[in-house]
Amino acid sequence: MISLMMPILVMVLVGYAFSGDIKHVAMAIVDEDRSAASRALTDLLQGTDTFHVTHTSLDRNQAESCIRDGKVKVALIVPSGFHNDLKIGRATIYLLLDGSDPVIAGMAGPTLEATVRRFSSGIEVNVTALVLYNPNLRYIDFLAPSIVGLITQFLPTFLMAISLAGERERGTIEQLVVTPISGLELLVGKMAAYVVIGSVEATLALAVATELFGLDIRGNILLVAAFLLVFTVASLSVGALSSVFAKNQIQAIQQIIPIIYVSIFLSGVFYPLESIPSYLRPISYLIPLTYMNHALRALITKGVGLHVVLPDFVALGTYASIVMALAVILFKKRLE
Amino acid sequence: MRECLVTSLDQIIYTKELTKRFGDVLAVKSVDLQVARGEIFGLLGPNGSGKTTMVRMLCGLMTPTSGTAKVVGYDVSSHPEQVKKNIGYMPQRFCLYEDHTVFENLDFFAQIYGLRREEARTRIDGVLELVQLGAMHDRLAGTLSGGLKQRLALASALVHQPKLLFLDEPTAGIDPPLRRVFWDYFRELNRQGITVFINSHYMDEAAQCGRLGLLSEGSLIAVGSPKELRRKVAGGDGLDVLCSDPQAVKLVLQGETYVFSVIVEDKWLRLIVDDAGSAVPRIISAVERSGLKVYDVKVRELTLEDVFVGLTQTGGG
Repeated sequence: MISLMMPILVMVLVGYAFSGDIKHVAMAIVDEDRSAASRALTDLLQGTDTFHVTHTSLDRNQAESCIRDGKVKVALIVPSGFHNDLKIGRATIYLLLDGSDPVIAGMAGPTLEATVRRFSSGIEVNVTALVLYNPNLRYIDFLAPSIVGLITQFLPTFLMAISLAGERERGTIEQLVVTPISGLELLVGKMAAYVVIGSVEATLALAVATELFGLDIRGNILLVAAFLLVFTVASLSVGALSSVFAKNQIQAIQQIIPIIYVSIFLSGVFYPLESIPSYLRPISYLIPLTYMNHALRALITKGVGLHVVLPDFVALGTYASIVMALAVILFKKRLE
Repeated sequence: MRECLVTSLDQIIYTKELTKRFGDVLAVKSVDLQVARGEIFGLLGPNGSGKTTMVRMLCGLMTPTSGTAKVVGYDVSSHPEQVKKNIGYMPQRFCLYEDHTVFENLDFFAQIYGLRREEARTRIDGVLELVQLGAMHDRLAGTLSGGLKQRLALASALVHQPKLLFLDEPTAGIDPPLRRVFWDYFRELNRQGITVFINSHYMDEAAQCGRLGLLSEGSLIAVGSPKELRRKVAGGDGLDVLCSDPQAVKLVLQGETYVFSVIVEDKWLRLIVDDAGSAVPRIISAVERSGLKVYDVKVRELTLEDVFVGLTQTGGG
């Protein structure tokens, strides 16, 4: 059954997740000209599907911090004199781009140029883009942090589920339950061991990315470690929970594979979240890897501080606590 | 409920109206059971009679629906961890880590029970000696034969010096010579002061116990020594007598007060007497006084199977 569902699931996920159109990219507009022309340009951009203007009436510095904090991925600067320049027939606008998302940064310039051309037919509007972070728009800088997240998801989930399902399959759980050790202690004990293994694996993945592919960890390494830790615990809890519903190791693996697939394709591992259709986006926000991707990219590529990634941490912490509590309760119940 | 709290110090297991319900099914029905410290007690019943549920409650793995159970002095519902600390449990199926050595398995359980390293070493050596596995110290558990695995399982149930040992069909699937070896271990442990609680549906295993409880459809229908239970069903002990003239001997023995019934079967007389031990010499002298000859007298083992069938048919308790 699972093996029949798998190809369908994967193709459907890939089809919907990578349907190609990037939509509703958060954008800030810095209007230094405050003219009829600049307002008209703002209105025009607000009417597009590709961009979603979330912040207006900012100055350049504010726009830059919006990008740093991940509130927007693109900031358009309409310099003072824009209106007059248009009359001369040669105007320039500036774009600030978030290079930590090279896919969006790469498409934002050309898309904006096309839009502006419609705005001012016959007049040459020069779009000058300035890329913040990852200035060469290297895809690996976008991919590596999320792959570290992905590794931190699937290895602990599998290890925990296989280990617990294995205890059940081989019957060793029977000998464990008659000891004074409690269900919670058993789970925490296993987790402690796998947290160590998970940390080593995440460190290895990060080391390869930095040493071999020149990934630069700009943020606080301790914050990165904290995220990896809470996410490992969340993943271990998912593994423990799935083992409750599995008779043996094969069943446990079969339950986890779909979870991993959905996580990979709907959390924006390979492609930005903006490429996922808006009706699937609520699912994305239920997937812990989504928060992990955002946080690791922000920490590693952009080097942001805690205040930017705190909501991600809270989301992951809440998720880990709920799943772990469920796992402990159901695990205990299952032992009866 | 007050009286439930008052248990004699000598009772290592004490249950009062112990009941477990699964949905609509009453798996254990209001069982009152006492097992004294130092006994070898057997809980006997067919599969599905509630033995497993009963033992799981006594081990603190499952909370009773109603009633109380005190094991090694602790209530199983409120202090399951204290119960678990003081009992050992040997499951029917081999439940240890096959990819670890004999020593590693025992050391793991010693640590779970919180034994200090030195203490653990001494205990492990002790239990390995008891089950004669000392030479297998560094062998992987998975490479041991069935009988050796079973010995290792027993050793690991003993590593923390439990006061009470639960054995779940301990010699199921073990050949008879080895079964005797295991019973030697159990009796040795019992001599060392460990109470042994055996869960079984094998009658020959049950016959070795000091006292038996018979469980049928969740109810405890009889408790007593194997001999008492046999008498309860048959109304006395069975004796088979081989003699020169069965019909004549039958007439002689029918007059004796301690003989309850006589049936002739071929050359044998099947008797029910009040007590086999005292009846045998009296039968021999009575027969010889009449000038007849007794060639052989055998105590007829009424099997526990017969007992069980007999008790369940009469509806029991």
